[in-house]
Amino acid sequence: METKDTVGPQAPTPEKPAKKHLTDAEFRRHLKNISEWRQKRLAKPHTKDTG
Amino acid sequence: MPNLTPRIRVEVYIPIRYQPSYYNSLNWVIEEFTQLRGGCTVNENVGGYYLSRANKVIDDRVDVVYCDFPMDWNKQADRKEVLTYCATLKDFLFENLWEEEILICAYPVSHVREQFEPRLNTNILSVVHNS
Repeated sequence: METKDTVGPQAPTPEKPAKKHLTDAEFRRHLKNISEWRQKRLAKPHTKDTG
Repeated sequence: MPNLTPRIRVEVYIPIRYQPSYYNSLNWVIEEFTQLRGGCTVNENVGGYYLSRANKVIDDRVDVVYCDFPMDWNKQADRKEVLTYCATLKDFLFENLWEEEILICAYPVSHVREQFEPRLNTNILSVVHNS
């Protein structure tokens, strides 16, 4: 998983990377079609470990 | 003057185990909440306890992930949508973890917000008003 320390250029500044703005409308649209959205946006879920 | 913005908090309790699927599932929930809503919070290694059949208190530690959805618990449609979402999330976790029960909570919270720009310079406003 990426952390804020590994994302983007390593500029010598204590500032955090800017936060992406997500609208409430986008959120609701994705929530309505959550299964479809997961398949598109997320890494494929792993399978249960066998051992 | 602050006001209160309604939110619905979804909280997932993921047991801490050695199997990779537990760690992967935690990361997956974090990724889903962050991409869906823009962020989430994780309380790591939280104490959890249960009573075994042998009547012993068993230490069962968990990671708690939560995210506040921009929805209103007082609206039935919002409540229904969140609960449906929680059901799909629970199904996913049951598919990937060896657990008899997985706890997911949803409940109303309020965020304190400034109603107006808090650092607005009133002197400037006054000058504009008089000009």
